[in-house]
Amino acid sequence: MGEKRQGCHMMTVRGNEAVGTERKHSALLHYCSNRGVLGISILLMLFLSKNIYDHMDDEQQKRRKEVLVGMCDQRARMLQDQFSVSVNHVHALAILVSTFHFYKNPSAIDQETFAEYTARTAFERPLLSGVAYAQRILNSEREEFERQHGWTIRTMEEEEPSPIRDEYAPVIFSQETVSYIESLDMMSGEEDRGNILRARATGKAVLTSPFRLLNSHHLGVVLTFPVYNSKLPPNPTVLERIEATAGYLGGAFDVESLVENLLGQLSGNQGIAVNVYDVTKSSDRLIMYGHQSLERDMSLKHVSRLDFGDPFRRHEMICGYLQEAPTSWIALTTSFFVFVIGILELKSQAEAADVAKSQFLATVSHEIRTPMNGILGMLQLLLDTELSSTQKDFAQTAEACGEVLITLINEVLDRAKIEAHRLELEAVPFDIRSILDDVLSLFSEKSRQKGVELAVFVSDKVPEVVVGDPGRFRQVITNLVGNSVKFTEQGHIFVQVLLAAQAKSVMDAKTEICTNGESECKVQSCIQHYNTLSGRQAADDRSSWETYKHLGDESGDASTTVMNGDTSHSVALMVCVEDTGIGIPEQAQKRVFTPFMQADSSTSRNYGGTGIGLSISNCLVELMGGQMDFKSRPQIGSTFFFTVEFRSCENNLIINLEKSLSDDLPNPFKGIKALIVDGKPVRAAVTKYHLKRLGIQAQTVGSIAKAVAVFGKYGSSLISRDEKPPDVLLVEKDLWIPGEEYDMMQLSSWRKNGHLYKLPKMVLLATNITVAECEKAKAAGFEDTVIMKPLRASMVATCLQQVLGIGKKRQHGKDLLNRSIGKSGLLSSKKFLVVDDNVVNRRVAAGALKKFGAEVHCAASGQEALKLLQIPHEFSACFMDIQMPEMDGFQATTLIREMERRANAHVNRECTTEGEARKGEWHIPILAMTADVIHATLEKCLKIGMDGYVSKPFQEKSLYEAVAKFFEPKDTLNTS
Amino acid sequence: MLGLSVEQLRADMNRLLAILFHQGVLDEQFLQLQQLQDESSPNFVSEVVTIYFHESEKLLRNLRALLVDKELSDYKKMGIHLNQLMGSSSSIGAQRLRNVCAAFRAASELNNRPGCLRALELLEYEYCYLKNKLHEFFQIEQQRMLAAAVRYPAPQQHRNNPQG
Repeated sequence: MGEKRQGCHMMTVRGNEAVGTERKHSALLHYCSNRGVLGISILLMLFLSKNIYDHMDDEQQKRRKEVLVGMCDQRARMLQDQFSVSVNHVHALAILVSTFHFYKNPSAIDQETFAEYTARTAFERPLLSGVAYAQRILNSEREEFERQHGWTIRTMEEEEPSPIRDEYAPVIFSQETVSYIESLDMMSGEEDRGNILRARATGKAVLTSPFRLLNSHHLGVVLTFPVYNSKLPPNPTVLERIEATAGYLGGAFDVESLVENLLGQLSGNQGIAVNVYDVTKSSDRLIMYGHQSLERDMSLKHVSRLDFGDPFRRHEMICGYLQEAPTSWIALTTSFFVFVIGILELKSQAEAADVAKSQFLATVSHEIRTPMNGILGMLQLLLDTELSSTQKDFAQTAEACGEVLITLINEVLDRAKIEAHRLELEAVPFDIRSILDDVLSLFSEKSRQKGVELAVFVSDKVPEVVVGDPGRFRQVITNLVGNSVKFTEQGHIFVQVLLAAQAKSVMDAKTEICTNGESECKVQSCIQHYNTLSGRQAADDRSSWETYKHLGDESGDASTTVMNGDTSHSVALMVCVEDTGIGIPEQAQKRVFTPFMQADSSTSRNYGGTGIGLSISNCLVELMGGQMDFKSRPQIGSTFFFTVEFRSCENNLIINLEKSLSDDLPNPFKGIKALIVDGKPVRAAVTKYHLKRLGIQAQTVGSIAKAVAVFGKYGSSLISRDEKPPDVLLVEKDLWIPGEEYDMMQLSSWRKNGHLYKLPKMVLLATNITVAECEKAKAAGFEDTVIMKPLRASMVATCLQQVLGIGKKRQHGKDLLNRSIGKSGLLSSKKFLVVDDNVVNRRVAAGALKKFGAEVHCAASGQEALKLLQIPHEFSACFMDIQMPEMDGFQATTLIREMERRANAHVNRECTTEGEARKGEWHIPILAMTADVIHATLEKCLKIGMDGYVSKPFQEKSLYEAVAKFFEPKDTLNTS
Repeated sequence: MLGLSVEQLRADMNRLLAILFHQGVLDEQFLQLQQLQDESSPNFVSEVVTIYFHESEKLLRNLRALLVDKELSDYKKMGIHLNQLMGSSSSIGAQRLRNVCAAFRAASELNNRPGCLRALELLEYEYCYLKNKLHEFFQIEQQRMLAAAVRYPAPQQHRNNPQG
């Protein structure tokens, strides 16, 4: 057995690990009960949508790149075209100069002609700021030349007469735009000199590297063409070329404005940055156009090659986007939607899985229940045999464990049902107070063993009878009280039921007090002897004396308010269960309502249990239209409170129910007065409540001395009054034990002396009492009785009956009656019909029913059953298999009910003269037999007109219970 | 001597039952069945089991016939037969047979012919096993009853326990 329990704990612990810390009960989390799976699923979704985003972004980048390449190439091509057009034209000018200046003698060109011609053809060279012609002058020719032109050759930099060199290249003709360079020696400039030398050696147009132009300060290049004075041989050598050189034609390309113009003509240049470089020396790229410093997105660029006709120089154009690629919204939204859709999909899957899980749980629980019932049955049989005491102990323990297991399985089944939305609440009138008494009686033994004070208090304002689901209400209370009992070693457990509105007003009052002086409040509560049931501090101070005073004020007019309250209103109740147990650790408080979560795994080791109860209770409370919450302080205690919505009962029903209730709560105490001696107001209020339920008028005093005083008042002088002294004196044990011996003696002596008009009966109230104490109590005068707590109305009633010696006979008679209805007696001489297509099943069912003394007929099909059930028939009940070929149980039932309706209508028509009382005479109870509890649930059976069901393969006990339901109440009514 | 053999036979029966329970051939429903047997119906269990064997043999024959017909296996009809067999098996507590039936039914729902054939073979095997064992059981019981009848004709004790 120890092993078994160990296994159970292992399961719990594992459960704890698996569930993790999620609190929400959402389907998703349930599905991925293990966090890893959820995480992976979400990561997967993230990854997928990221991929989609990347893919789309890539596509966009590619498109952007393509656009860039296209634009860059287009610009490069245009630039190159325009450039070469200009170069060609300069070439033509060179030929013009050589033709008309050198071949003609005298020269046909002078500065004037040249200027005019170039000015008029400037449109042909839009890129050139100006052209000029420089003649090649050797040093020997310089003097002659200078004299001829009337000026001296000047250098470019200083514009001063040039020092003596080997040769010079002074500008003789120039376009008007560049007229300032006339007479300047082109060979004095570094760039130009190199250009000139290269040009005359190759005979081609050459370009300088980019530099700042003389007066515009734009970047530019100079283009130089050689002009030869005589016709060159077909394949001239370099020397021959130099020899034949007559001069040079040059033009300055203003690259900056050139490109600027060019780009201006093109669309879409706003977004694009264009740079043109001279990359002749790869290590040192020289910028010709563009802004090196400009910040821009160079992550994406394209390089286009430029060919300006000079084989020596290499140029290139680099284009890039000015701005970063804009975030691609389409990609972003698409991927986001994919993600969302994925999550939704995941969620719906999870929900489906959730339903499946619940179904599975329900099925599995059922499957476990069947063999468990076997085990329990066998154990019971075993216990009936003759066993040694050790064996008996083993068997009993095993049985107890089995019952615990069955309870657990039932709980799991409950939870599964709630989750599968299969749990429906009943709506029947019931008495809350008696339910609370029942719950208390369940735990009285345990609480007594522990010496924990267990008490219940229901406010007077709560109606006697409400309409709701008593079973579920009891389940919740039982769970909460059970937990409290489990976790409380000393102090008290106190169940309180108030109207929600009432509770709220109390709470408001309390918060007011607390907010007014919070610190004071705290300090006070530390020192003060707590005004709770047992005097120990509780987590929530709801049951302190202030509350009671509050309630006491109201309870005066309570009965009247209930009386004239509306009939079918909803009644919102506030139930709170307070204990002084170990409390719940802060960090565990969040997950208290999560299934299988106890505060920590050590809890289950020390206290057992699985922690599913609270979550079920929570669900049930929510189903009942309320909410559950708690306050807890470690080592001080926990207070669980919840609200529930019931409907108040209609008047006639109340009367009905009261009749039946009065049976189990006899009321012969009218006019009896009691005196409660109790120092603790809360506890006294509880005692008073129970007495009040019995119709006993109660009065409270705080100590025995005061009680003595009260009696003294009656005893000594005022006998003649109408008021009679209390009949019963109820004394709390702890008030007496500390030894107010003297007062006690006085009291008992009074008793003995016959001072009083009528001697009060003395009753001791105790949670636990030792034999010695008991003896002592008897000696002290409590020979009448000791009432063991927890107090329950019925128990108090019996005790007081004993003490006062009134009305017991009735109770006795009823007990005897109940006992006489044995199993066999109940069903004897009843005739049953068993409808099942399976011979074996039929035989077994018949055998089981026969054992109860019933007469059994069998039918193999729905049709046969119909024939047998033709009205009039003598059957008392019918067991109907659901799954039958041809006509199934549902169909057969429908037809049987139809038949009955017709017969009833007929009878009613005939009997109208006799009155309507005989209405609905024919109604045979039909019980479904099914192997499947989940699919053919009770609801469907009931809907189709059946009266109940038995699960297959059926067991003697359940079969009996199902049948007995239909016959027992009738019998008791008849006999009583 | 005879009294001793009654006890012996009872022990044998219990041992046999224990083995069958341990193997999972039978479950507690069989005990339920035994509880239903009393003076008024002293042969209740064997009666029910005989009916069960009779019915089951018929069903097994039908199932075999349905499956042998290669082209036209009527899976629906098979399902009905299997439901029958399952129902009666669970009624007498023949747990293993019931489980095989469930597997068989699952296979037949999927129109899985090879699966059905395998299940049928298993079913026939289980059936034979159960039949042999129960036969043995009833034989012992019969012997025991005979032995008991010789010695003690009085009604048996421990048979009808009202507490059960």
